[in-house]
Formats: sequence, structure tokens, C-alpha cells
Amino acid sequence: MGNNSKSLRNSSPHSSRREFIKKTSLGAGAAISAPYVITSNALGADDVPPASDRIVMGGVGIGNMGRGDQGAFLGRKDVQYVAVCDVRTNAREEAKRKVDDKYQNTDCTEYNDFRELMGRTDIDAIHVATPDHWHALMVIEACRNGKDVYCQKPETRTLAEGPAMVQAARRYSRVVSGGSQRVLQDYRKTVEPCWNGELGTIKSINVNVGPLSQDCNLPAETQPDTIDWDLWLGPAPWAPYNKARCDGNFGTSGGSWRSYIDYSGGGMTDWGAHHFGGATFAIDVRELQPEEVVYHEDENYLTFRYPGGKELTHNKPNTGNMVVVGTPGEKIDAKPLPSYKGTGGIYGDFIECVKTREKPFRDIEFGINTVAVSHLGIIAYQLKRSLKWDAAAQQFPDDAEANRFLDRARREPWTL
Amino acid sequence: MLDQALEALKTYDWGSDLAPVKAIDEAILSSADDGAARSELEKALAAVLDSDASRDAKDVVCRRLMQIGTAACVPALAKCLTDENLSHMARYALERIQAPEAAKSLRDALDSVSGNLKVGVIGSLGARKDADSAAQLAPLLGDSDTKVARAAAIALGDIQTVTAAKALGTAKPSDESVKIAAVDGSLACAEAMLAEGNKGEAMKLYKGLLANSPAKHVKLAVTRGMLACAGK
Amino acid sequence: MNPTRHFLVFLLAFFSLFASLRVGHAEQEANSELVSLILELLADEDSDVRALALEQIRSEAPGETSTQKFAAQLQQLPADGQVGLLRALAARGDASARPAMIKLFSSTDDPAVIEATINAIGLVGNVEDVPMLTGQIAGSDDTLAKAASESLIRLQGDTVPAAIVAQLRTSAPEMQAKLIGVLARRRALDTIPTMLDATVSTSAVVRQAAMTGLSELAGPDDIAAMLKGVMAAQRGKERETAEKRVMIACQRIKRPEQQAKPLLDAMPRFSGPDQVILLSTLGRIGGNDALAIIESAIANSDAVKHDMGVRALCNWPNASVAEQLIKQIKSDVHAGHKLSALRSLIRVAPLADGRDDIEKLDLLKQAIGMCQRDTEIQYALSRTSAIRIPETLRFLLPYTDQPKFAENACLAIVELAHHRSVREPNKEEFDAALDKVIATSKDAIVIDRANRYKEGKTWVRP
Repeated sequence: MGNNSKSLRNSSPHSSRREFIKKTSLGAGAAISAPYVITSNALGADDVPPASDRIVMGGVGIGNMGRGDQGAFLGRKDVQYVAVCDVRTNAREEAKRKVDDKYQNTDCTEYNDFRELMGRTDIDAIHVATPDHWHALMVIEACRNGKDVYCQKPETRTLAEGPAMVQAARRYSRVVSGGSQRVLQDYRKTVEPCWNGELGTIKSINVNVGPLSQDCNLPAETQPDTIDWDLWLGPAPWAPYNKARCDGNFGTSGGSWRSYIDYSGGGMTDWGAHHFGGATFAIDVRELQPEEVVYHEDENYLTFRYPGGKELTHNKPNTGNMVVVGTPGEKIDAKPLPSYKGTGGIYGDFIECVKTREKPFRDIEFGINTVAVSHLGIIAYQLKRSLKWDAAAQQFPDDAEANRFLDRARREPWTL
Repeated sequence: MLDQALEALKTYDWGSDLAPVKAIDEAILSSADDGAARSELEKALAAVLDSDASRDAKDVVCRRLMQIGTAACVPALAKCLTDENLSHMARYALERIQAPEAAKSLRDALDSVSGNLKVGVIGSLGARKDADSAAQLAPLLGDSDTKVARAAAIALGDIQTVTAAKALGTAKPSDESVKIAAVDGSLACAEAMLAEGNKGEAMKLYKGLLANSPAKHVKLAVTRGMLACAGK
Repeated sequence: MNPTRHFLVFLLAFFSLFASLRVGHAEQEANSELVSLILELLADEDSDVRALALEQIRSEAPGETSTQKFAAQLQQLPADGQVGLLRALAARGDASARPAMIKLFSSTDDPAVIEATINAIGLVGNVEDVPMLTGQIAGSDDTLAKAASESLIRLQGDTVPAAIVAQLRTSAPEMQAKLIGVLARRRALDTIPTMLDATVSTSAVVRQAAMTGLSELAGPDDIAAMLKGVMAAQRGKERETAEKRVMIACQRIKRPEQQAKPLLDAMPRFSGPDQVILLSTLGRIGGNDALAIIESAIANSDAVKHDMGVRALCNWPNASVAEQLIKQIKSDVHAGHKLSALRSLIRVAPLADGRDDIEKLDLLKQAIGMCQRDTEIQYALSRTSAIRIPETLRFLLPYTDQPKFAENACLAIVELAHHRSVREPNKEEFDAALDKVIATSKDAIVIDRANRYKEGKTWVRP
């Protein structure tokens, strides 16, 4: 951001209205020389002097993905990293050590309970990389507390969580980015021919991903004193501690939280967030949700039908992952391909948008639309039948049975 | 097969094989078009809740009643709402059962639970957008248990009726967490009014929000809402 | 001042406005009032309020009249405000903002504003902006040139490619190359003839840009003309790259057996010596018809034809010529040909071409059996990780005990372990192998990867 060298405009024909709007100046009034867009609470609350160039950040859930996210933000000159939160002592301490080593001080604060971190008025933005069953709750709470959020994918555990997250982000004008770095980076060879017109009108794309998550009935094990088990479970149903239940490894076939229905949708949401994200980006339906999911009973695969006629198939037999069907020979105009803003990939995109208040490449709405595909698919496989989906109403029309799967009651005292 | 599975639930506990659960799931799927079979299954599952089966077995049952439960199983579930170990899973089913009896059971339980269990019941009423509970939830905004008051604020924000909006608009919480939730609830109500074209009522809520020197991001939210009122 | 008093004044004013809005005012009037409010916010002292105004400009108060009112503020804001507004107007995507943007462009000397204007023009500009953008590409500022290039790629309008071609015709070679790149990124199929002409330019940089562009755009009917570009390319690196560009264009033909056809049809139109030169290109495309011609060249007693035939064989895109390669390794009289054939065999052995993984591994083992130098064995070990089966792991393990090959084997093992689909079902075996890697390798990254995979963690390629 450059310095503000010219004065702001100083006349208006609507003086009375201007006066009233001026009175909305949110707080005691920032100095004229403040950068034009960057938020003014970057290093303080309403009543502290002007913005700094740094975004003050903290992180919640600093395990596998969280560690990577933390490293990416910590490495940025425009970020001041001040707090870590994890219900596991070891992860928390390691995360703090990393920050303190970086800044050569001991200022980074540790939290076991994310609510304490959320309450800090000096923090502008947080990144969330907890298990999936916590994502919605934390993102919404962060927005209510005026924080921008970078949330790991998959952004939701249920369909109903999605609109609630988008609503919270929009309500408070927060920048909320989903976390799949692969959507833009990994699928270029698929995306570019779709957007530059090479494939003509796009008809369909196939995604191969799985499996679905499974029930978990692991036996009780002795609970180590290095984990706050009740807080790890949070809104999920109570279950006794078992290492495999909460292990953060990337497996989705057992032995990790990613495998079990209370915390994850399995590979269908975990890798699905990447593949479905890339596929919906490629065929340019990322702003939409399907209007129908067709269950092909004989061959056990799905077709998601989008408004406008494009189709996304899941695990279609004898069809490769990310295989696109276009209209050979047809010439259509190229469309400008959206990309990250700023520098530093998806993390830089988020930080740039925190400064400019623009929507990031993986704006929460796109993340939600992606993971909605996963959830709709899971429900169709579970019920073994086709479904109609009213995206505007977020309901399965005239389908009481399917509508039961829209959400799950959260364990007390957690509510969205 | 199903009988064996139901029998197995009597000794089912953490670490048990999932075979009986899978058998029950099969029975649910295969009875999709057989109302009588579904009713029998529902009845059998509900009976487990009245037995001395383990917490784990009852957990399994509640998850399945979430899928197939009707008014018939509500009494069995309702009894669990006051049980610290079972209340959540009872709500797991009751929150998703469309029958009005399910909502009533949650409303009825409000006076007989406290602390976290009350928070849970309030949350489920909010999730159901149960307009009939607004009058019961409104006074809870001033509850001395701040978790209860906060839950009531969030639930009223979900319910979004005139009663809910009025309660939120006149609440004067002192606890910060309740304040944040009440503000959020009011904003939600105002947005709902805007969506229905009721700009005047939305403006009243926005006005109320500004009167309490809210945090900056709330002022931004209000300004945004007011701009929406000014638009077409 | 007490903030509460601020807002009471605000509310009074807003309510009087709001009341007037509600008395049956037309939609357009409401929009106009909203625009006025947004403009007030845009001039606010608080950056968060201004950010809210920009958010509104991006998506609210639809219509050209509103856009023009917003755009009119460009001249009145400070530089960073201009940047914010330009970005918001670009996101709004309404072309009626363009005149104000152009006016600003011609009056500012702030680099950030210039860059933001160039970016915005890419989204709301038209064919009239081509000269300005090409001028920026030709300029000395790399940042602005890159922005202008991206905007020229995005600029909408059917006549834009022809306007770029017009600029290209009067440009210096470096600029021609850049504009050919822009046309390719635009997928301007109508400009293929221009690119084909450029393949025989006297400037290498133009020839290369044209061949690259054509590799992305050319259809089957254009491939014969691309061969002139192969012939025009200087021997060595440029020609090799040109051959690969033709190969990429041919690979877009859906049916594999048809991919060499445009070349086979075109070759008779070239002179005898040129046909020999084109064999190398033909080899890169492959196919049975191509193989017959190449085998005939290899069998020819003419040393030049034989040499080009072997080169063509060594360029083959898959392992279908394994038998012929083995024959060359065993029987060719030239040591250079033998080595080329061996390295080619190692290259194609793991490629996906319908053979199963065991067959691929067996072929690689066979190739290793014919290696006489450590270099080729090391190359072969590095190729094994493309065959993702536990048998590959078992094959690699003994090499970890041989100091000459241990690092190659360790790297191949972690590459193999990187793939969860092969690692997880064979966890015990992989864990033992990864322990061996940890104990053997001197490469810190390889050891770190081995440790991570053992713990079920991922590793992100730098």
C-alpha cells in the first residue's frame, strides 16, 4: 500500500447525507494518512492509532495441515503471528516454539480453548486446521468476533453448516477463504483447456475419489493427559478416547479421524474437496450447487446435474479422474481464468484479500459449493437412490427422509 | 438377522464388532418402502432406550432413529433428554424428526434441564427454527447461566420471528459472549426481514444495535444492512 | 465525541432519508440514493468504511449510470484509493467504467495506479485498448509489461486478435514473439496462418514462439505446414524443441493410430534429405506406419539414413518398440547408437501404454541387465519409482547396500512411498524399507521424507 499523498475529496452536493454518513465513521476516526483499504485494527482495537502493514494472526489446530499453514503464514513479512491454539499439549508447545524461534522472543500465546483466542481484539485473522467437525463452529465464531479466516478444507461436516458459514462471513464483511491449494495448482492441465475454449462447450467431467467415512466403535484406551479429550470431541457425539479415533494421519480407511463419520466424510470430503473443487472450477460451476444427484444403482456411481446442463460424474466406471467431455471441433471464446491475488499461493491470496477486502480465490462460498457435492453424494450413496436438490432453499424438495441428513445435533454446549 | 442384531445390542459396547449395526442399517434400507416393517423396527429400537443397554448401544439406536424415527419413538427419546449421558444423542434424533411431537418434547424438557443439557435443548430448538419456542426462549436471554443465555440468543437468531426479534432487540446482556450472540441474532433477524421486504422493521433492529456502542465489525454489519435497506 | 452520539445523529439522518425512500419512489431513484450513500462511504476517513464501499461497488447498485458515478470518483481519490476503486470496478465488470479509467491512465504517473488501470482494462476494455497494451508490453517496466500481457490475453472482442496481428506486423522480433505468445494464450485460432508464416522467420525467437503457439493451437490440417518450421529451425536444441512442438500438436488427435498421419501424408512433399531429417519428428509420434518407415531407414546401408532411423527409434513415445531397441543395443555396430537405444529403453520401460506393472518392471530389469556403466544403472533405478507396486520396492532394496547406487535406490524408495495407495496396504514392508533408507541415505530431505511417510504424514514437493 502506498502512502496517501493526496487529500480525500472535500466536497459533496449532499451535505446533510454526507454528514450523517460521516457520523458512521466507525470509531474515533482513522488518520487521513491511513492506507486506503487495509483494515485499521491490524495492530490494535478501534481506538488505537493507524494500521500497520502487518496482519496479526493466530492459528487453531496445529497438527499436520495446521503446521503447514502456520509455516506459510509465519514465513510472511506482512504477518505477525501471535497465538496458537490446540487441545493437544505437544502440538501446541511445538507450534509456540516455532513462532518464538522465528521472532526470537517468547511472545506467542498458547491456548487450549479457541474461545479465548477468538476473544482477543488485537488479532485480525486466524487459520483453522482442526478436524472437520469443528470447522463451521470456529469459522462462524471467528466472524462474530470480527476476524478473517483461512479454513482448511473440507470446510463443513454437514450441508447445513455451509450456508451458516457463508452468512456469517457476509454478515460481518469478513474475508473467509477455504483451504484447498490444489484446486488452482494441481489441475491446470484440466482447467485451462476448459476455460480457454479448446474443448468447446463443456458437457461433463468425472471425479474418482473415496471412500465414504465409516462408523467407529473403537474400544476405550487410557487417555493421555496431553489431550483435552472433551474439547477434541467438541460438537461430535461423546466417545471414549482411542488414539486411532483422533489420529491426524491422512488415511481414510481406518485408524484416523478422517475415516470416521462423526469427524469427516472420509476420502469423499477429504480428497473430494480437492478433486470436486478442481472439477467444478474446470467446468465453471463453482458458483453453483447441483440440482440433482442421479444414483446409478447397477454400477454404483453418481451423476451430479447442474443448472444449465453440465454434469459431474463420480466414480463412473472405466473413466479416469478429471476426464472432461467437451464438444470436439467447436470453437468458443476463452474466458479470463481467475487466479490468486498477491504473492505466495493460496496463503498470499488470503492475506492480500485481508488487506484489500476482496474475495479470495477459494472464497468460502466456493469451498461450501464444493463440499456440498461431497455431502450430496454421501447421502445418495447412503440412501442408495437419486435425489433432487433445491440449492436456494437448501432442501431436498418433498424428500423428508433425505432432509434428515442436512445436519446433526451438536453435543452440548456447542451450537453453531 | 435383524433379530440377532437387536439381541446383540444388549451386550454391545465400545470395541464390539460393528456387524449388528450394519445389519440394522440393512434393515433400514430394505424397509424404505415398507411402512409396517419400518414401524416395527422403530418400535424395537425405541425399546432399547428403555432397557439397561449400554450408552454405546443407545448411541447406535439414536443415530438410527434420527433416520427413521416418527412421533412414535418421541416418548422414549424424550425420557433421555434429562440424562447427562444420553441427552445429546436423544437430541441427535429429536432435532431431525419432523413430527411436531419432537419439537414439543424439546420445549417440554426446557424446564427440567439445566446447565449444558439446557444449552443443548435450546440449540436443538433453534436448529429446528421452532417458532413456538420463541416465547419460552426469550426470558432465557437474561438467564444467570451465561451459556444458557448465549444459546437462547443464537436460537432466537435462528428462529427469526417477530417475538424472537423483539426479545433480541430489547435484551441488555452484560456478559460479552451473550452480547456477541445477541447481536448476531439481531442481525440475523434483520436480514430475514430484509429478505421479506420488511425494511422498516429491519431498520428498527439496526437502530437498536447501534445504540449499544457495538464493536467495529458490528457497526460495519449494520452499515451494510442499512445500505441494503436503501437499495431497491 | 461519544460514539453513541455519533450514531444517533447518523440514525436521524438515515431515517429521514429512509422515510423518503419508502414513499413510492421508483427503483432507479432508490439505486441513485444507494450510489450516493456508497460514494459518501468511499470518501470516509476510516479505511474499513471505504473497504465496505468498495465491496458495495463490486456487487451492488446495478446499472451503467451507477457504474459511471462510481468511476467518476477515480480522478478525485488519492492513489491508493484509485487502486482500490479500479479493482472494484474491474470486479464489477461493467464496460461503462472504461472511459474514466482511460482518462486516469493518461493523467497519472503513479506506477501502482498505472498497473491497476492496465489490469482493469483487461476486464472492461475493448479493441481500442490494444495499442496501449502492446505499448506497455514493449516498455521497459517488467511489472507493467506482464500486467499488459495478461490484460491483452483477457481483453474481450472478436476483432482483438486481428488488432494484435496488425501490431505484430510492425513490431521488432522480440515483440513479435511476445504477441504470438499472447495470441496463443487467447487461443486465437484465426491467427494460425500468421503463426505458420512466423515459423520460417529469420528470427529464432519468433520461430520458437510460433512453434510453441502452434503446438497449442494447430489442428491436423496445420501440421504439415508446421514441418516447415522444423526444417527452418537450427540443428540442435531449436530443432529438437520444434520436433516436440509438432509432437504435441499431433498428440491432440484423439485416435492414436491417426496421430502420425498428417506427417506421413506431408513427408513425400519434402526432398529426400529433408525426409530423412523429418524421421526424427516421426519417431516422436510413433505408430505402426511410422515404425515401418523408420525400420526401413535403420536397415538402409546409407549411414545418414541409418543414423536418423536409430535416432527416430530412440525418440519413440512408448515401449512398443522395446524389441527393436534391444536389437539395436545388441547388434548396432556404433557404440553411440547402442547407448542411445539403452537409455531410450530405460526411459520407455515404465511408461503407461497398456502393459501391466510387472511387465514394466521386468523390462526395466532387462535393461539394467544390459547396462555396462553405473550411470545407466543409476538412471534406471530412478525410473523404477514410476512403477508403483510392492515388487518395485523389493527390487530396489538390495541396491541400498551398494554404495554406488544406494542414494538412487533410497530416493526411488521414498518416491514410491510418497504414494499412499501403494504404501498403506504394504505398511509393514514399507516401514522396514524406510528404516533402511533412514539408516543409509546421506540426503537430509530423503531421510525427512522417509520419517514422514512412516508416520503417515504427507510431504509437499518444493
